[in-house]
Amino acid sequence: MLLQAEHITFGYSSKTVLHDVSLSINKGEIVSLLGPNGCGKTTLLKILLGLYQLNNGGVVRFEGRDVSSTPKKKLAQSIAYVPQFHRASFAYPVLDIVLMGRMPHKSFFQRYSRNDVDLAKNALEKLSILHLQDRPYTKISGGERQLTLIARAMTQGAHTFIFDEPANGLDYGNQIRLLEELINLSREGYTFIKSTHFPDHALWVSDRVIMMKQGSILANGRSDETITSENLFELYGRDIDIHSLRGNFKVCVPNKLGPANDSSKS
Amino acid sequence: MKKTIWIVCLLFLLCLIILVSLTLGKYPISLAEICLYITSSCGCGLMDSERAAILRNILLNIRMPRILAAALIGAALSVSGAAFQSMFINPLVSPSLLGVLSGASFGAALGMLISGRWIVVQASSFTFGLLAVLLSVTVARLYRGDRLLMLLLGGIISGALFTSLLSIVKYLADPYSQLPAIVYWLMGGLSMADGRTVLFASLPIGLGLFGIVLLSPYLNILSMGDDEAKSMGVNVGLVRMTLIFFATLISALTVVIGGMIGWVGLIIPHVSRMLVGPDNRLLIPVGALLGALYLVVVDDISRLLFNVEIPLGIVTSLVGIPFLALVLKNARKGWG
Repeated sequence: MLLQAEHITFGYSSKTVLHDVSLSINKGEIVSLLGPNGCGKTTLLKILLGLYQLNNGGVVRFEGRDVSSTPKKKLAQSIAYVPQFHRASFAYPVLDIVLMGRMPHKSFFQRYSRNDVDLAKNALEKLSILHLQDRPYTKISGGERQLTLIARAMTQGAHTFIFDEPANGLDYGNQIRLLEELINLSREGYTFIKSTHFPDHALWVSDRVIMMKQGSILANGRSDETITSENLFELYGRDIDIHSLRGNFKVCVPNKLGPANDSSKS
Repeated sequence: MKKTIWIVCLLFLLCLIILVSLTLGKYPISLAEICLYITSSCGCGLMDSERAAILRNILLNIRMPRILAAALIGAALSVSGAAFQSMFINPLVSPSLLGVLSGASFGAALGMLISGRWIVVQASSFTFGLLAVLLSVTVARLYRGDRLLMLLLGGIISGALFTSLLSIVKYLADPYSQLPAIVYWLMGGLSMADGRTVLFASLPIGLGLFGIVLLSPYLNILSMGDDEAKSMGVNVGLVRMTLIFFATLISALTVVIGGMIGWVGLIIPHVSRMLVGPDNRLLIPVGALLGALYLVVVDDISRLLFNVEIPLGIVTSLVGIPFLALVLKNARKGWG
């Protein structure tokens, strides 16, 4: 058991966002978190990262150690956060952004070394974007930014990556490229937990799916067994069919696309 | 490598400008004479002692403190501006963001109202500058939510409060003696900069500058946003508060030396970013040197351009505003 959350109940001031959520992640898994907007996915991910102080009970353990009492630098060497690619305000070169991943390994007065630069370049090389190293982060495409942030997570030395909707805002080609990179990296032993709005992506690359609704876990199991028409209706309130193509490859297709307001009533 | 070249070049340029500025003024002193004076005071002198005494008075007691004051203020405002911009992830914020300048202005005006002694004005200005920032931070801490946004709102509240308090002081001030003093002071200028104040302020300003330089790698990470910084093991709350403390300290001290000098903290970090890019490890030292250079030159202009000295703050605004309008076209190069 790599990462484990037990009975997490969490809220902001008056509103409870998560109700008694428990889950566990094994090493090398790709786990997708599915659920409608506002169901608490992002909050859960940030709790797994140890960014929030739990205020209503529960505990998160990473490799058996309570995350809240693990020094943050040490935790950062094992778990990395890959946010949605963002429009940064300052045009740092790609290499500088990736180098920031070495920060958790540095004491206060230490500066980046030649070795750190090599690690950063290796990560860029592995994702085949080394040619971007001197380009300003603000001037590359969304897909390239997302890969840059993944390279930073790799440079951090972490083996567990927590992604918040990594495919959002990427064009179709880059979405597929991203999924391919996830598969490649997971073969090398990296573990991924990602939230997503695409059940298809979960079917294609995830070993396991955790479905969330209104702050609780609705279903948790193998992707092909958990992504069913019933569960998807429960999550999104729409009739969605699951089709099998070429043997095991599955896709989700809406049952019908009628005028607005129509499909949920039928 | 690139880093050292920039810093060495700017440092050289700054020394040059300081030397040239020493020659400028009503009483003509040539560059050669200054060099002669320096060598002679080092011991290997062949200078007429009467002449040396005149030079010592003009150079060491009048011109040097003023030039050093300009350099210190320029460096401090530029660095605190750059630090605020990175930590608030917004290239358009200035050192006044958390109300430090409003607080310090009120403090200075209050000092002139109740006492008029220069030391009281300075102490009061410094104290209220820090108090204003403390108020912003406290207001921000009262509420939950986005920390950056709350700090910004806290800054607006605190700035507005001290601006209205300043109006009260102006209203109460004696319109024939105190009010003009307050108004002139608010325009900012270095004619009151004396050697003792500059020497006294240079130590904490140096400390603050050094602290921000040390923390500059953290500024880079803070500019990626709180969650990312935390996920990379940075103690965001502590680092940000330390940076705010240093940036506030140095900008409050600039007000103590020279009153309100606007625009430097916005323009110079901006220009530096266009020159060397956004990496704070380089941007902060370059910004400091460039800020010092800029203000020394602008102060030369302000005391020489006309027969009467123009307040420095007016010149920095007059230079700064069209400059910002001009660079807006290129602005996205640094942060777009």
